[in-house]
Amino acid sequence: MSRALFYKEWIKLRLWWVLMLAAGVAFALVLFFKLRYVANANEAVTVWNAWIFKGWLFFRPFQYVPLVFGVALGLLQFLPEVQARRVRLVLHLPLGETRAIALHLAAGLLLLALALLPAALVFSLGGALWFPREWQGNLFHVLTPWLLAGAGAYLAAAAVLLETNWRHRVFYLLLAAGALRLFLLETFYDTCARILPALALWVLALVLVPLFSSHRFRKGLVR
Amino acid sequence: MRHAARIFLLLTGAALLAHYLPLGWHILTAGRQRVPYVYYGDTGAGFLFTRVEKAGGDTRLIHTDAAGRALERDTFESLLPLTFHAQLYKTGAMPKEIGGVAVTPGALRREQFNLRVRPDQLDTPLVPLHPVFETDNGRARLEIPPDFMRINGAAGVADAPGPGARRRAIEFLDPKTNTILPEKSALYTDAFARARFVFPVTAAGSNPTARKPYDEGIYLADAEGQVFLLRQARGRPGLVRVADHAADPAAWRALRPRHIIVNEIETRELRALIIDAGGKPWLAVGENHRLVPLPVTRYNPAADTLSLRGNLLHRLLVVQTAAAPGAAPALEAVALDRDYRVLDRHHETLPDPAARPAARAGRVLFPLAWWLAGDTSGYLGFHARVTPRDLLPAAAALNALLLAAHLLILRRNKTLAPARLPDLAATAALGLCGLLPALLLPRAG
Repeated sequence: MSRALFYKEWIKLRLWWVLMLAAGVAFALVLFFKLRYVANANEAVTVWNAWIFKGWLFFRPFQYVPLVFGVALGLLQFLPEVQARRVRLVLHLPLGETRAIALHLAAGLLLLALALLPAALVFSLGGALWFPREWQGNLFHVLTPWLLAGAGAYLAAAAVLLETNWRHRVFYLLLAAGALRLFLLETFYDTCARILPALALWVLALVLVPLFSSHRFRKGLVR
Repeated sequence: MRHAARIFLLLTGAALLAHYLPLGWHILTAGRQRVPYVYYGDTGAGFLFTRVEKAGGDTRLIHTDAAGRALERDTFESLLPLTFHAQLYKTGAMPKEIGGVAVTPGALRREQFNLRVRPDQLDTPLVPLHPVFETDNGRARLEIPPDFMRINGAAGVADAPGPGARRRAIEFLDPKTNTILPEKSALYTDAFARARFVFPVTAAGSNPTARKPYDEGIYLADAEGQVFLLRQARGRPGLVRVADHAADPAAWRALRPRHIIVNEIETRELRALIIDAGGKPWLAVGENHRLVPLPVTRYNPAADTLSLRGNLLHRLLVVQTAAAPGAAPALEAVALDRDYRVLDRHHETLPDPAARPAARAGRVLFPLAWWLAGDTSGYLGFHARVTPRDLLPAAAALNALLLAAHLLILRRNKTLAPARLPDLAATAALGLCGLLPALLLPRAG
């Protein structure tokens, strides 16, 4: 049944996922070619100096893409289910409500990761052409909070859509906005290095919220 | 699961409010901390200050002497000819000599320097690649090096590249090809081995810019705390243990540097400012690297700002200390002669921003506040403050009131149950920041 659920989600989201993947990779390639242009138009040592001493990272315009993808995927996955009340069927599957929604979330997170990781790979491989291994460390420390923000945005979108009460939806939205803003505070490379574990733990714990919302949805709780 | 989710939401809500509400309160109520700018008179006037004075709703700059007497701007500037020389030259009031020292525009420019060490500068993300400047490239100006030095820290020597080859202790990277320069790497690895440098590097300091009169080189402290100076002359490395060439080798051997700051000035007097493992600042001066302890009474490099200004006649050391438990923020200024002997000292307590009524009210309203971006580090980290002891009764009383209100609301809504204990605990501990999310949270069942 788990495979069937994954397949159902794949059928529902594949077109959108392909579009996201294409958009993510295309944007990453645009940034890569921009780097190529910068590297060709300037002395290599100038480009390295801009990176080392001014914190210039060519993939910085990608910052909000995971967040947008996360929200979009959450909406695309759960809005039709909630609008048509199809999610009620899912919640009554013999899998159990928690497992069924967890599988939906796993499918969504997997698709989100698969939509974003090729872009990250473009950055890593593209950067490796012009920068040494220290640069890869910067890429990891800068990109990871953005990817975590994407996962957090996806989970928050799922929680908001599965919630039955508008007041609580607004509360979740405010919580998500306040928390995810902190994931995007980085201004220089590696500034988030010391808070990464805390950010990752928070996103991990956030999985509980859509499960909680689905429980309330099934029970018909409106307060 | 649902209880865990609810507690997670409660904690997240309370934590976010403990972040944003104090921040909003600070934005609404904070005033500028008015720190006086300190000078030391060139003509024997002692310490002089420029202060911001608040008169009604207006602010204005006033110039005062050490006794607090207000001085006219022209008088003030005439007491500081080495600072306001441009104005005094314009009005024709610039002295030709002060205390027997001839004053010329060239000497003024050459001798003036300003070195400032902020806490966030000492704890900031850095890529561990060093440009090694040519100290003598035969050109009139310094040029940006075409390669970068990487210190691997493992003293392995590879003769041939290959899967079994070990990394060299020192590697030079060519940005043009993004590859390692084997010959130069071998040359430098040998230089480090010959100098008996013990890896790993525990502190490094250089000034990686070509906009300086000369290159001092890169100071490196090894695993045993010994300080080495690395220089490059016409592509050849020169690595020397500073203690072997210093006027006071014993002091250098005992020094355990944690931070090394290099800032070349035209007179070549300042070699480096070193902060040792105990947080004590030292200055390395002169050709023989004389080690001078900077005579400050209180300095915490992780929180305080230190500046050293110099001119033709004297040096002025200023430390602005942040508020610490049991100590108010303060300003300490020490005037030194050109041989770094203490001439005069000034100490004053600064108004504590946390002591303002609005800030104190904020500490009662929000018993816990936390933030990520501090002004003491270049990294984001979790910084928190709790209500100080003297405000605890007020904060506890407010929390008790909020707790009573919370209990009343729960009773009125007929939802007072053991499952609400975490909500009540959040209100009791965090006051408003705990109450608001507790009231907005969905029910678990």
